Amino acid sequence: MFDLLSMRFAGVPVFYVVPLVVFLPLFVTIVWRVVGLRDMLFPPPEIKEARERLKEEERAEKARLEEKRARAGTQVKMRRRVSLGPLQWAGQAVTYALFAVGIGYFSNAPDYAAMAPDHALIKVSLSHPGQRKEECRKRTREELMKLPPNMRAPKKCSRERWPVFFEMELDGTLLYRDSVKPAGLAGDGHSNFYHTVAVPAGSHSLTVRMRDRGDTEDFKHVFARDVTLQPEQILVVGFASDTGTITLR
Amino acid sequence: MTSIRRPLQTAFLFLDGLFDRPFGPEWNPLRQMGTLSFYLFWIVAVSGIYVYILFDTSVAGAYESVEYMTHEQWYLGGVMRSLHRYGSDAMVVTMALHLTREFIFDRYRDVRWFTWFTGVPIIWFLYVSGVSGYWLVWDQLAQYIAIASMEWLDWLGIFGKPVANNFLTRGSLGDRFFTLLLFIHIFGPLFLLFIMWIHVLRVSQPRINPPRGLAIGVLLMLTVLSLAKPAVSHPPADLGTTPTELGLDWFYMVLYPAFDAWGPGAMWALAVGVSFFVAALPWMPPLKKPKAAEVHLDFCNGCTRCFLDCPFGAVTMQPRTDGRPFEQEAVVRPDLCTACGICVGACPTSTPFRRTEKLTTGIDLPDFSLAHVREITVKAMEKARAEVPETEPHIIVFGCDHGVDPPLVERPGVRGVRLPCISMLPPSFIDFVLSRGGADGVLITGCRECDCFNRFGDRWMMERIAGERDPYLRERVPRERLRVSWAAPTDRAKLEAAVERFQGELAALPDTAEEAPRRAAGGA
Repeated sequence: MFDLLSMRFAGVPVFYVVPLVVFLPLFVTIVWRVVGLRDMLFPPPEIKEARERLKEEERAEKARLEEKRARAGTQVKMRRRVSLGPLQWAGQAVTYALFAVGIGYFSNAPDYAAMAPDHALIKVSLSHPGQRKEECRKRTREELMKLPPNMRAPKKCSRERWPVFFEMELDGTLLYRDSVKPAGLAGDGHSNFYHTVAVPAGSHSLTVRMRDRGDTEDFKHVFARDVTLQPEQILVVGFASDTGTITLR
Repeated sequence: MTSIRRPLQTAFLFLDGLFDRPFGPEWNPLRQMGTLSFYLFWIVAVSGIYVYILFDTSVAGAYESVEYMTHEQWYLGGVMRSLHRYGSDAMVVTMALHLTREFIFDRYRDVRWFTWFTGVPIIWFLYVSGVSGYWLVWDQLAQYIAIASMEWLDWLGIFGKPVANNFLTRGSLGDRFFTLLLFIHIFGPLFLLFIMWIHVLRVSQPRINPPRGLAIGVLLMLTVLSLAKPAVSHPPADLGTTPTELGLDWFYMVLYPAFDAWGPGAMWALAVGVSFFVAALPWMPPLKKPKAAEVHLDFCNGCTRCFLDCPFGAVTMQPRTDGRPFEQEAVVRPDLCTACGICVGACPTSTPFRRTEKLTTGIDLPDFSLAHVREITVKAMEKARAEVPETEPHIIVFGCDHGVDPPLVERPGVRGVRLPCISMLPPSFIDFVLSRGGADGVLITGCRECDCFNRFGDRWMMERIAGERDPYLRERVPRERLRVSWAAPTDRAKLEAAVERFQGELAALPDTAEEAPRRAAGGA
């Protein structure tokens, strides 16, 4: 089987070379023909002549101005061009060096502690639709007949759903609690949770509760488990809609 | 606002002076921040194209391909990667200094509002381009900032499901989403370039390339830095763990620690609030704008000099409307005119020698007319003459609103005349002052070289004196009686020293004493 991705030539993966093979000729053609490198390096005779003519005109203009200035006996200097002595070159080198040191240093230093190294991260990430605010009911025959033939769904369901309520405790301490409204203008989408919280690594007792109705205080889904978290580990608390269970990953 | 700007101006002028010593006015990088930003963009673009050739756009191969170019092909791929990083870092610095400088020197209001306003999206696109580049390395730093960036976007609630879910667990991130990140990094810079083009669109004669010497210096500096301290990656990303210690690129990621501390809502408020505030700055507080220049068609022969010299493109030429035998006439767009008077100085009819009842010129400022300039010049000449004996040198100092105030360097025999911009002074005024025996010498001053508030004032003036630009200074004007000393508001001592030196030089000229009787008689 021809597998370009794993092929190597002289130890270098071939796929590194493929873009070069494809783009380099294109790039060279563009630079050579379109940008005009060819005309710059090997100018045709008419361009050569035009350039010579231009140079001659420039020389004449410069000489005219020089003569004019000399005739005027000007003592007013034109733009001050610094005569770059060793001190000026050294000054420039120091300036560039300081700038380079600044850029080089702050491009990856000082270090930032995004999280304490003895902590783990718990992420709550779940997407679940709340229950409909009104239960579906079967349409009567009369109702169905009033509808256009292509819209005669046997059940009538309200679009609006309840917000989903979620809370999480670690060792009896509340870590996160939120109630999320359904997405969508009509409030008929999923309630999406995304939340992260850093906790000390080690063994903990994790309790998660969730309800998807607003007309009751009872939690439909409750999950409790002892977990051992390694430093820097990520534990994702989710919800499997197909089985209706809270999951840990 | 002025009280905020004044001390900052002093600090910037001090730094300018410091940088002038090794670089000179033309190469001074502090005055080239805009052009350097453009130049750095090209360095980053070219190095980015090379890096892209070696880059593997899959999640599994991205890190390895970057490692390959960094370590195996360090001499080219590694240098290009480092140039790509350091060039974009330097661009943040040049952009920030450019913005700060324009604010401090009050070059963002009035006709400049458009350029300032379009600079705000440039900041956004530069950050989008820079941050999205870091995602692609797909190391721990990429993991941290990609997730933080997505959490920041998710706060808006505009996506069906949180985008951060793409980084939830090992295996969550697919090649398709990773390719999307790559597209952001390609289209971000393209939009950035587009906005940069818009940014300078309304600038007359914009400069987008730094002086060659400075360009070579910057490229050399970045190359040496790339070889001395090549850009390297963090350990590869692992979505099963969370990175703790990170070497942030503080130029692009300075707000991420704040994001961790304050959360996405506060960061959106900060980003949007600051953007709106900065974008609204040109209108607060309201600017008292002088009246725009006016064209007097009876004196306009359509020579186009005002059109060519206007630094803000406020003068345009149109076919003649008054039936006079000229092809064109000048028209002023009041919304683009800053009333700097450069057009007045360029007009061939702006001459103080004319003996008409009222001095009128082809284009003039209603609030600061050429007649007024002649009036205050004549007064200054009379005052200078009255103060010291005729045998001692008299000097007229012509200056501008944005350099040292000329009256500040006045002393017996020396009088100052202040104009909106030094290029408002037609060269014929120098001739007028010297040939009418009003003074023994004329000293021209204004903003420091290459730092004119009105962009080209110093340049046009020098070219007119040197006979390289219309209207020329007549050849009969003795150049030994003319001096130029550019001086920012903080350079008063320097200008005073120049005046004193000039007085001494004039006194030493053989004909200064001989001319005294003629001056006493009131000129030619």
